[in-house]
Amino acid sequence: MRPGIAIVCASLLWLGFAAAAMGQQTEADEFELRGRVINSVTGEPVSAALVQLTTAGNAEFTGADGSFVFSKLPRGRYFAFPTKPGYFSEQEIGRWNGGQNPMIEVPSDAKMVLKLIPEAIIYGELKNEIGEPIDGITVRAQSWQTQGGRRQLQVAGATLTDDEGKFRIAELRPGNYLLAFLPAKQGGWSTTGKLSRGKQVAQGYGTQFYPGVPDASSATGIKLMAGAKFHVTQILSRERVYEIAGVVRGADPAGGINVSVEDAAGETMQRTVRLDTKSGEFQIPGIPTGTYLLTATSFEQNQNGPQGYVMVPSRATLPIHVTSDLSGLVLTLGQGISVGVRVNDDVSAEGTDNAPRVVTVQLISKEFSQLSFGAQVPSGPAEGEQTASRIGDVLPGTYTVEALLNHPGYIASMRSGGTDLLRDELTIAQGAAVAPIEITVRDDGAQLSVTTVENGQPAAAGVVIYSQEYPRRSLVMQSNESGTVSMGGLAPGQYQVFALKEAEDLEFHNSAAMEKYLGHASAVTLHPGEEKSVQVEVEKPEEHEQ
Amino acid sequence: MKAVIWWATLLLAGGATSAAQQAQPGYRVSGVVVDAVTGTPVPRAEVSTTLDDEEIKTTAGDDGKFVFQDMAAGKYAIYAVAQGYVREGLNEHRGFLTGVAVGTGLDSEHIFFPLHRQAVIAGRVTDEHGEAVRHAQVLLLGVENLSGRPGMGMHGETQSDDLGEYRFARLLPGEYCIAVDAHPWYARPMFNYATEPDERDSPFRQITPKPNPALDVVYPLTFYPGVTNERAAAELKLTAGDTVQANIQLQALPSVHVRMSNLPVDGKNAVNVAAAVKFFGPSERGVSMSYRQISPGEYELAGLPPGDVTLHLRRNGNLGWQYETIAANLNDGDTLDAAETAGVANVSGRVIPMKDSANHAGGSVVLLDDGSPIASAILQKDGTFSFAPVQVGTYKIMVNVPGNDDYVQSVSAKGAKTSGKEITIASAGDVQLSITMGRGVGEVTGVAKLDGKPTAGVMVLLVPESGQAEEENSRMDQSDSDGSFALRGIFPGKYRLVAIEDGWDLEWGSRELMKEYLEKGEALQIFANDQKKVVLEVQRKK
Repeated sequence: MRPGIAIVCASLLWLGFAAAAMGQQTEADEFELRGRVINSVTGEPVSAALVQLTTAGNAEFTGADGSFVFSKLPRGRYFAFPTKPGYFSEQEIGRWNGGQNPMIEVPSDAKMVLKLIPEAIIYGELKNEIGEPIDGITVRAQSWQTQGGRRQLQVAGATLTDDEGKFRIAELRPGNYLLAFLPAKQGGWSTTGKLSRGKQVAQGYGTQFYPGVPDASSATGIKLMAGAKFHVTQILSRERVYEIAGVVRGADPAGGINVSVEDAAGETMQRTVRLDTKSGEFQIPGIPTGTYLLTATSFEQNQNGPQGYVMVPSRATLPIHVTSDLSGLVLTLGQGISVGVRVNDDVSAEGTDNAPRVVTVQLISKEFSQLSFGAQVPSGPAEGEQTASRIGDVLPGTYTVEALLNHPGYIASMRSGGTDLLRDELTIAQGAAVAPIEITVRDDGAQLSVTTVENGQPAAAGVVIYSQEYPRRSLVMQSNESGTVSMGGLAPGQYQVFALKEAEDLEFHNSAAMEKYLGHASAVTLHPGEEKSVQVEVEKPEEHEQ
Repeated sequence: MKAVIWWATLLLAGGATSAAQQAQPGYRVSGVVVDAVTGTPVPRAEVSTTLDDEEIKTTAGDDGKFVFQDMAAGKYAIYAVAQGYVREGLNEHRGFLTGVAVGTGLDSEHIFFPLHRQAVIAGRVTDEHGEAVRHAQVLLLGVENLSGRPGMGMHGETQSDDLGEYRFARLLPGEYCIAVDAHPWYARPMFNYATEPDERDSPFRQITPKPNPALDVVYPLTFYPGVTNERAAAELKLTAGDTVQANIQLQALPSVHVRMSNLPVDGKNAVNVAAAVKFFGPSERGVSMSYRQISPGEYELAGLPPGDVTLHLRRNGNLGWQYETIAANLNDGDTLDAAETAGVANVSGRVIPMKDSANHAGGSVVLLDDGSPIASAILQKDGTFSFAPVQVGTYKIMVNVPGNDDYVQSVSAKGAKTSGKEITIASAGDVQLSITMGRGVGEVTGVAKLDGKPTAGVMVLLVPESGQAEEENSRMDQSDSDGSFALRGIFPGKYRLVAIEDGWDLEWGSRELMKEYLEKGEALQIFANDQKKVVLEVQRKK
């Protein structure tokens, strides 16, 4: 083109540019942020979800098409997160790598896509043998949670069947579930004074687990993915129920007696217990075939207490197998085995304040996971007097011993005679003496700082501090977006440190299961009072099958 | 008979008869279960009763017939239930049923047991976006006649599920209302007047957004079909076997913030105030509320629904504790002064005990408003008591002494009006009470006869002669299969006793409506520990 026009064009261009710039300046602080919320499984839009911008207080609901728009936003960086009932955010599901909220720099042409993870639901109906609905049955979903390396069943949801036998359990996270059907309370929890002379052939419902077995160990787990809707039609049949009868001996008449029955899953059977408090005789009807724990408790007046008369609970437990009516069972109070416990407080002078230092010691039965015996033991100084405590009324069996501190510190050692209780179990046999449990507490723990990197860049991950020698000392932590995490008060010793994207469900006790991670782990030796740091590479999931 | 009380008596009787049971053959209890509306037999109904403290069951045949063999002489409460039917006692009326008398010369083999097909109310709760509302508390209210006056009472409560759905089943025919008590899931409390130092250093800064008025909303208590005024609530009339769908859509309203001064505060600055909304007369539903201090002594209450709200303030003192009630119609920005309650009176007095009851240790005198305790004063050893200032109003007086069953027999007052055990404080000032205690209750037993024949299932009613509003002194029973009835726990006084066939729907609390029946009833004077036996003529319903 000819120069004259070029200049004009340039001027026009420049004017236009100036005009545009001026336009930008008048609206300098008002931008739009658009996006949509989708279902992480189906990709479909999620309507009526609330999207919030952190630090700004803005909140908008998504429309029917899942879209949202924030207007009049000043320039800057925004973190957005969506919520809606029936959905989980990625943080809630506990994905370590989902630690960050989606971030956007405004102004931007990009549209934010936010994901919500849909809940899983278990629903269905309960019928009896002739197809009639059964109401009033508790339906309970439990999932395995790993806590401190130990797998435990936790209740994820429970409900009652309605008059049509229907039930729904919603808001379930992806995972593996155990579904139990617990019969309605029969007769409530009551103790009546009269013993019955007549017997009835009775039928009732026992506890059942999906797909229709009487105990949890043979039950089939229900694996739920995000958004799954699992339908169950369960037939419950009445079965023969039996009566168990016997006598409680050794009860203090003023102390009252309580008799209860727990099934193998740890549920207390809700049955009417007929109990004659004078003679101690009891009868409990309505027990289906199975293995149970029968427990009698009473209170004793203990004259050795510091305030004179003290009501001390005493307990007798008896495992029973029920396949027919049982009679003649004897529960003798005060005959259990008593285990001595001594705690030596080997802490530095600065470590103590005036608060009472107590160690809670628990003996957890291997045969009945819900059965435990425990005591709170005050810790005394290493030299001089040691306070001696006892855990009483213990049933013969095998136990895992756990100790919890109510103050900073760590368990340096826990032994019963030659048994190292930090690693091995305590066996208590009838008639044999049990060496007292000696616990040493110290407060000169070490501090470990871990940095996790992925491909050379700091990244958030699950950090596992694993002790092969004492698996129960193992810990799982999460490093933040900068890839750092730090932990103090660690018991001195040898550890293997490694990082995983998802560090749930690790079974520390299962050394075979842990083997596959150790190849890439960093070995760290911690000495008392030491501060150490270590960097670990985040292991890729493909590196090991699960 | 009244269901619960009878089992206690059976326990005592059981000891005596079990020996007898072995000596002689038992009696039979039998009959047929039928549909209350059509009269056709209900097949395979489960019929149960209690023998020797244990429940025994039998299943009726396809023809609805059932039988219990080998029953000892005595009286039995029998219940029946079947698929799709409501579980009922024999001829049940609100907690009373016809007991079956068993023994020589008594007919216990022709029982006609009507059962009602269950009615169902089900529905879905949605919000203003049309989405399902989970965990909404859905209340079932029914028209009932408990205190002799028709009113709405709570019949049940359930929670909506993940689909927003709820279901009330096994309902007897009647009139019902549905109410929903829910919170918007996205609601966040916000404070307009009370500011908090900047939470900039909180590690959770990223996750906690700044307050947003669009999220500062509440759902007021909403009645089907979706109104917040109880007078506009729809009544669902159900007959046996009906299934009714009742969906409710909730609308979120901006929450109300009020400033309150002179609030009673406890220990760690915890404010002793609770909010509630009243509905259908005295029924109340608690409302959650947030609060924050604006300045010492002044608080902001947030998250309240607009409209009529009742605030209960609790004050603790050396002499006892008390509740003050402020009923207010709240609008956003209102200011309230907790010290400015509608006039207070100083109430004190003395309790005159029974002669041999000297020790009042641990006792207290309690004032009740509509059945709820609102103030308590410690009872001193010499029988005197003194309340912290009490709001004007009408209260019932109760005296609680642990281990002592004596009751308030009469009250006289200076500075307030009395009516039985109630006092009415009309204005601020001093009130002196003199409370006389009484002991021992009486009982009336007997047989109800219609045209000379003992009649089952009739309503037997005992009301105080004086006609004072003393519903709790009235007693009621349903006659059993041999026409017998029992009224117990009667406070000494003058009464009228009537038996009315089919009298269950009568508004027996109304003296005018009951006038003709009462005039034809029996006048009785009951003394402490009295045991009267009567033969009562049954009146037909007019």
